[in-house]
Amino acid sequence: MARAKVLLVDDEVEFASTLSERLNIRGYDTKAVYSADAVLNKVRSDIPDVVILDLKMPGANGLDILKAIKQFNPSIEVILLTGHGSEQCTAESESGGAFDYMMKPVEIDSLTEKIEMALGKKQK
Amino acid sequence: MKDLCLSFINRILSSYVHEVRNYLAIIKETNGLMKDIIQIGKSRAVEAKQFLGFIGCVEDQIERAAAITDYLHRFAHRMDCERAAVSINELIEELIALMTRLAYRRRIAFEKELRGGLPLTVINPILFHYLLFCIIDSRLSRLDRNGIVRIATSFSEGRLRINVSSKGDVVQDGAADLCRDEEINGLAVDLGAEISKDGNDLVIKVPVTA
Repeated sequence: MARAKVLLVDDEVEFASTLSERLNIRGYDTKAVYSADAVLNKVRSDIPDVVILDLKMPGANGLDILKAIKQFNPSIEVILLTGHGSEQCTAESESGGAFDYMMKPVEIDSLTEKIEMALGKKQK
Repeated sequence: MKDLCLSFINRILSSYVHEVRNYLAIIKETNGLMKDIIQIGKSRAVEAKQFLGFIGCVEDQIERAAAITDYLHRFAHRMDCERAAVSINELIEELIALMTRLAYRRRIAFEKELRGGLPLTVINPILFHYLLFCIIDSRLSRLDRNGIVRIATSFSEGRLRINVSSKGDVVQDGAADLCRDEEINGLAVDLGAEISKDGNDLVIKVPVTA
C-alpha cells in the first residue's frame, strides 16, 4: 500500500527537516519545503495528501497559501501550524478551508493523529 | 501615546515569543528524533555520530533562546527608572535582537555599524527605545522583500548620532515621513533629541547630557 504523502512547510529548516524525518519514521512519505515561494510548485509537481503549513512564513501569509492550495486541489487537506491558538485563528483556519490547526511546538502523537483524521476525511 | 507604547511593547513581546517558540520546537523535535532512533534500535556507531549533531543543535537553540531572553530581560528593566545613563549601542543591539523576527517575517535584514567608545547619554530609556523602534519600524514597513535596514552610531559636535537608512525596493504601504510626524517629533523633543533627514538617512541626534 502506498504511503500517504505529507508535505511539511516551515521556514525553520532545522524544525522542518527533523519533524519530516520523524514523520518518515512513522511511515509517511514526508517532504519538507522551507519557503512560501516553493510550496505551490511542490504541490503541483508532487501532489500531497496532507500539507502541514506554518501560518507565519517570511514574506507570505499562510492563509493565502492555504487558499491557493485549496484552489489548486480541494482534496488536499491542510493542517496549519500556529504560534498561538486563539479563537481568531480557529475562525481563520476554518474559513480558509484548513482541516485543523496545531500550536508549535507540536506533540508528534497529536500530529500523527490529526494526519490520520485528515487522511480519513479524504477517503470518505 | 499610551496606546502606541503598549502596541510597541506588544510587538516586541510577540516577536520574542515567536522566536523562542521556534527554538523550543526545534529542541523538542531534535530530542524526539533521538528518542525515535533509540526506539527503532539503529546501530550504535550511527547513533553516536548522529547524536553528537543533535546535541550540538539542541545546545545551539538553547544558547539562542538564552541570548534573546537576556535581551528581553534587559528591555524589561529599561522601565525601572525614568532617567538613566544608557549606552546607545547596547540599546540598539537589544532592539535589533528583539525586532529580528519582525524583520525576518518581511525578509528584511539588519546591518549595523556601531562605533565603540561612545559616551553614555542620560535619558528616559524606555521612551528612547520607543522612539528608535518607531524610526526603525517605519523603515521596515516601507521596504519590500530582501531590503536592508542599516543603523550606524557615531559621535560628533558633542552629540551622539544615530543614522538609520535603508536599501532596497520601497513599497508605499505604511510609509510615513517621521520628520513630519508630530508625535514622534514631540517625543524626540521631550527626550532632548532631534530628528532630521540627511539624504536617505534619518538622523537622531542626542546630547550626552540630555
